[in-house]
Amino acid sequence: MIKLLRWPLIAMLAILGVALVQWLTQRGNGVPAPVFAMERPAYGPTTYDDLLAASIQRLNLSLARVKRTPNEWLPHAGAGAAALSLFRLTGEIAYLEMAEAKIDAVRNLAPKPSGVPELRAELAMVRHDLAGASRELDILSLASVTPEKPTLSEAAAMRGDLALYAGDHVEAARLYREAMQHEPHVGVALRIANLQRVSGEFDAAIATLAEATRAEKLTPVVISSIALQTGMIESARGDYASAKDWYDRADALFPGHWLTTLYRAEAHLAEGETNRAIADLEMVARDHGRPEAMDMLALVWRVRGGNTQSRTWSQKAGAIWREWTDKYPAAFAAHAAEHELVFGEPAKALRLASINAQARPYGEARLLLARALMANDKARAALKEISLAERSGWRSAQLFVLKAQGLTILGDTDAAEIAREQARAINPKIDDPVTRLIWLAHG
Amino acid sequence: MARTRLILIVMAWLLAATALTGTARAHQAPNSEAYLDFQTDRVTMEVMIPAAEYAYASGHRVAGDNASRAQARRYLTDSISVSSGSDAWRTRVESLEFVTRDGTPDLIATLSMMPQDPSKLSDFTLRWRAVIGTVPDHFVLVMLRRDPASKLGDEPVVIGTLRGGRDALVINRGSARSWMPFANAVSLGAGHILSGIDHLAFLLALLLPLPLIARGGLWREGRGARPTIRSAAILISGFTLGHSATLIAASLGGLTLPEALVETMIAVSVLIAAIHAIRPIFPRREALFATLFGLVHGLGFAGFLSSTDLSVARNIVTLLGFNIGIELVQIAIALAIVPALVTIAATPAYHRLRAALALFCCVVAAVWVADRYVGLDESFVAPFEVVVETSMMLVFFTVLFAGLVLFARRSPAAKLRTA
Repeated sequence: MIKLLRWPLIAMLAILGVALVQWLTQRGNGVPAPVFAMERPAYGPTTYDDLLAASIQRLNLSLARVKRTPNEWLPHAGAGAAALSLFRLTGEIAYLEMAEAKIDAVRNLAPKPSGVPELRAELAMVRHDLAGASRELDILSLASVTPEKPTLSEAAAMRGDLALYAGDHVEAARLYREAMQHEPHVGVALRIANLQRVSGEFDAAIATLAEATRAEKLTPVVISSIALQTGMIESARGDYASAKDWYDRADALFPGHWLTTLYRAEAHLAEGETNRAIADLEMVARDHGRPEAMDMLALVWRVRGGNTQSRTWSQKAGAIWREWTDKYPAAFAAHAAEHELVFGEPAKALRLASINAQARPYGEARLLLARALMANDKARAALKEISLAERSGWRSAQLFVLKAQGLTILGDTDAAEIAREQARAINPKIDDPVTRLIWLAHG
Repeated sequence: MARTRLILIVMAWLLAATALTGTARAHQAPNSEAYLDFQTDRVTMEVMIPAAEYAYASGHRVAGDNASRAQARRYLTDSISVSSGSDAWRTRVESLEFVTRDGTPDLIATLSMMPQDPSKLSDFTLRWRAVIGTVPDHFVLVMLRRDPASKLGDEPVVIGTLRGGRDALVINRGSARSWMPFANAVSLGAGHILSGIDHLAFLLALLLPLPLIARGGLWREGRGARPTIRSAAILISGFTLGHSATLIAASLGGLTLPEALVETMIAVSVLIAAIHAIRPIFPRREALFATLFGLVHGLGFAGFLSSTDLSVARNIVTLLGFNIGIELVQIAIALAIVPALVTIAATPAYHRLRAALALFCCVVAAVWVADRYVGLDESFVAPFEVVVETSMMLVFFTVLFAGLVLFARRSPAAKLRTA
């Protein structure tokens, strides 16, 4: 009998042998666990409130200088930069409007081609105006006096961002490397990690972030945002418990930031601590007026069957998104489209998602457009967008879930099952009911 | 040459073993799904709506009490309708419950939809406002699952989607083909016997001792290919005769027995056949045994038919097709396995193989008897069934493989090369 089964036994032993060799190889040469240097630094504002106070003080000082010398462009540039920083910190649109006004003043006052093209480029990026940002960076490159290394590095990194948002991952990676060559700094490292995350290279992204924490001394807000980004990576691959740990660390390193609270609320939802999540979200919605928090609340209440609460929050969020998209269509189109898709009208969602994808035709925008197209009964067009995102190098569980959905609608259930398997390979928890509550860390 | 053949056989075995692993299909939350099944006088539609979306859209509670179910019934009746031309079909919610699967509660309902004139069961328009009228990114995937007149098998086929912006779907039934109901019945019968491992275990246990002669209360030496194949043919025919008789009597004549009793008797038949394969109990009476217990297995087939497709059970032609499907699979299995058993029976190893397989069937049948008679815990039964199903397939391919190897060694070409 043993003689009879000689061949299948040999085949089985061969398979076991290959598996053993692979295991030993991976064991020997596997990626070492990344080592983060996350000690809380002894300098820089230590809490959100401290940083907010310092930023407001900086803005007030700049505004006082503007008042003293209203016809000089440099104080306006200082005020514009301070307002833009405050917008980035608080998300309050009034600061964006102020930054815009001040930077416009610089444009009017400064003799051409002087001024602050890097600041104008930054503003254009915030407005999702890729062409405008590119124009300003061109002006910067033509400067007769070569800018300093940090400016050159940031300019190359911004060009990398432009490439990423245009859907060119290869060019983005090249430009980020170039930025690193000019001067390696944490801003570039964060961008590289982001590119790695959206390319599905989660381990590499975490390693990049870990290295960034070891490379230089960082302020609490930066080190906290690294923890936040690490959590997002863990969330993208379905490790919601680890994501929560990172969000908690982010909060401990730099307490009080509403963005961290949003992510922590999301982590609570993933853990089933709905009441705690609702309390956090309500706090952000009440104290900071964030429509993202309101949308999340509307979704949570919908899943809970809380009809009235869900509608109340979605209406509040909708009003804010409408106001913001009226002022800055491209900058807020993605958020507003997301809102319309889940709580509003599919036709509006499609219009907004198209604006967003036109402004920044990268993977996330294409996936949002694909969702809007599917909601408008255009599964074939949606699959085309998904295919373009996939070809650009974008990799996420969400991409493959959407692909599976589109293929199912078109009746190709076998291909849909393959796409679903691909999604599960990236995020094994993609089918879990909690995953639908992940509002922020998807894409 | 023989070595190449052996390698090819090894590869085929490995491929076959790999193919045993089925793919899991997850429910696509949070969208709704609707499965259409055409019956002779109506269309039934199985509906799955995520409970959270239902609660949000309807404002109703999700609970198992009668009041909540009644609200859900009303909601579905109000928001789903069917018509063809000016003929508004009668829509009725046959069953409704809230079921939690994979942690997600769903509303599961079965609706029956009947035209005023049952003969006009053709093209119709499905109108649906449930959830999609309220939740913008929600859609309903409408699938045709069963239409014995125009579609082969019951694998769902997507026929369209319904959304907020498009709440009506025109469903054009495929042109009816006269042979399709018969082909469907054949496919149903073949599929049932392939997935019904108790029937296969019964056959396997009965076929195991066929190549041997019983003497002195033990299974002894092999009795040659010709008589074994002849006995196998008689055994299969007897089994077919038995199950066909009760299947027809149950389906057309209304003969019924309690399902639990029938299922337990089927498990007992496997147990007896397996014991017989270890020690002869009724040597050379296997065909008679197969015919008698075939009567019980036939009642099992009838029970399956009445729970899945009544249109097959009500018609003599389709009933015949269902029987033919069962028969075709039995013949295919016998054609593959009997020559392999005959080949292996010529070696001393066969006794150990027979005893091991018979013991395996014994254990499995004993668990089935216990489960079907007293009921075992589902957390044990579900994985047990998976293991048994996979093991049965592995047994089948291993026996086949061993037979092929022996056959390859004894082939004239191999002998010539040895010489």
